[in-house]
Amino acid sequence: MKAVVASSLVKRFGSLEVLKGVSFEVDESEIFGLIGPNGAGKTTTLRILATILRPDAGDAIIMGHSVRDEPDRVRRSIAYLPEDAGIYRHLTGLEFLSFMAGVYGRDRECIKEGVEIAGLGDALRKPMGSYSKGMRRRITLAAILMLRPRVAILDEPTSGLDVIHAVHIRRRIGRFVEESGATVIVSSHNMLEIEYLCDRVAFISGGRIIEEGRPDELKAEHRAQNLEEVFAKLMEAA
Amino acid sequence: MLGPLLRKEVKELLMERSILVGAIIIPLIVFPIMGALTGLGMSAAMERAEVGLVIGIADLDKTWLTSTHLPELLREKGIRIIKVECSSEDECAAAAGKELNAVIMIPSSFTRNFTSGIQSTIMTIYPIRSASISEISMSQRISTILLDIFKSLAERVHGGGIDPRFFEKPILENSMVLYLDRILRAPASAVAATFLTTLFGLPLVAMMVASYASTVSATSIALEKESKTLELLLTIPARRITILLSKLLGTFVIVLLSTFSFLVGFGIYGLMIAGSMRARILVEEVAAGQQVSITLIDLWPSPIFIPLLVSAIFIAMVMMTCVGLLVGVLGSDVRSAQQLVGAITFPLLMPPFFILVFAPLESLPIGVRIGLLLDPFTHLFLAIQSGFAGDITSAITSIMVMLGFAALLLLLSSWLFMGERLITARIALGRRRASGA
Repeated sequence: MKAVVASSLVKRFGSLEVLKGVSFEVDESEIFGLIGPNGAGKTTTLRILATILRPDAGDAIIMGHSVRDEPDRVRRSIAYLPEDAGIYRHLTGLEFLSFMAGVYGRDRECIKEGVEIAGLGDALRKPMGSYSKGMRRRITLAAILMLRPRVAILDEPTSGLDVIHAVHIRRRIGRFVEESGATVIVSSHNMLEIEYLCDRVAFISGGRIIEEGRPDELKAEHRAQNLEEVFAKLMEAA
Repeated sequence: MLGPLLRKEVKELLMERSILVGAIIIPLIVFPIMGALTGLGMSAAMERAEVGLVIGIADLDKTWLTSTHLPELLREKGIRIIKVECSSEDECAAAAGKELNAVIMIPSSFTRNFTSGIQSTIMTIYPIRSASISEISMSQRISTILLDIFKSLAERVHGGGIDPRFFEKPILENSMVLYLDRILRAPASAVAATFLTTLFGLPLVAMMVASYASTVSATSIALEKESKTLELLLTIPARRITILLSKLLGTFVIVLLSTFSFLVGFGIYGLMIAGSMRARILVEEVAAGQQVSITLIDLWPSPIFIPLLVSAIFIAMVMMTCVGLLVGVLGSDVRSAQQLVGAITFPLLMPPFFILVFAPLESLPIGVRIGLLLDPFTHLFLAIQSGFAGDITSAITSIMVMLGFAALLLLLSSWLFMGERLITARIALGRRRASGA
């Protein structure tokens, strides 16, 4: 079974058509990257997959359930890390992990795993309002990955982070897939990061998927050294 | 240097929608409307107090002075007189019925004392039938009129040779108040003071609870937006109605805590004020020859009033929590959500409070009455006033209407929590405004 099947997703905000028929498929245990410039439609696509937005046309099936018709069931299979996800300032990191484990009905082992993934040590006992941006990102990512969702949807997980935090997060995502066999959909405008992390990628621009494939295949096909060059060539051709 | 900085500051602040609407436009609209409505209520109250007074006279003296001259002077003041037959407080109270604004009992020795220049004590009973200033001020108005009339009567009887001390106060008024079929043996002024405390105090507490609920719930949702946790919250495997319920219950807990601390603080403040006022009233009334013993307990309507009051305030809290949620979604951050919620709840709460404190609903023009009845919070004040005046049926009716409004607002809030509206409501509003412009 495919973990995610997005079919002709269309989304409009008033007269602005943000998605113009986005389609892609993601296998189980695959890390799938959605890459494109700002405003391309990455976040809107992920929000539809996370059941926050409803598509105006088309549908997405996640672990056999439709985001249009069965959003409650979809939510049981996924965990979503929004772009620039915020934190509850007055909760400590540990309380936040405990809250997330509670709403997902997980046990104390899950919290222990969250503590390990976050790697924040004693800072976990401090209110999250005192955390740096990198620490916030680590605690929110830990809260998502510790749940071991069948599909993790991560929107720009390393955006705006320094190298240390970005590397920590990338490693954690890779290890999470290895250990859990879960599926990850990750968006980014950092194409080098996606190239390093993903099994397969899709380029999105102007609300449409313009190319899709394995990073090595795409580089070979377009005679490019990296995915940035692939994207540049695609845009020139368009 | 200052010029460009100042221009930038003013433009930035004025362009901020929450400041423009909340601090500049809304006051320009709301205060004139409130002023007009409150003025209307006050003039209705004054008209009620001044025209159409009906007074019953129980004349135990039956002399030329009490049966001819006194009624004549009362009629000259535009007062309609009805003769009543009673000789005790209870009989006279029963004679007040539903029509009379006061009953005066003239004692049998009145003419003999009055013509001899000796102060007589007359007994007056003032029925209070509704919890409004117009009703309370009526008793004080009648009391003043009576003193004037008896002064005129003294002048008519004694001519120029009148003792100035007798002319200053030819009668001693032993007044009592008929409230909910109970006779309160205290001067109308003392009852009015206690009554006013309750009349303002209870709706004020209700209003505080309600408006605080809206602020807390608006903050709750705006905080999720501002700290960017809303999207995370909306993807947890919980039904949206559960998330809504958690917001409502969380707000209730905070509001109840706030109400408790408010009541304790306000209670201490009230006790301190009441203590000094009570001492002053006692001194004044003892000096006037009448002992006062009136407390809030004496005015407490019936045991069912407390559950009615709590229910009305609780439903108002639910309504305002929903209003806060609905408004909070439109704010971009906590500050703008709080300003917006204030701008919306202020006009909902203030006009009914100010108008109904001054005059009963039925005394207002039909247009104002309809306007007020469409405001859900009018029914909060009506429920409190009716309950306080012992009209339990009307109080329950008002609470039922509030329940209807609360159900409607809950439905609207649930609708907001379904689908993508929490995320897109502000975008949609912004676009609608942009296309409208």
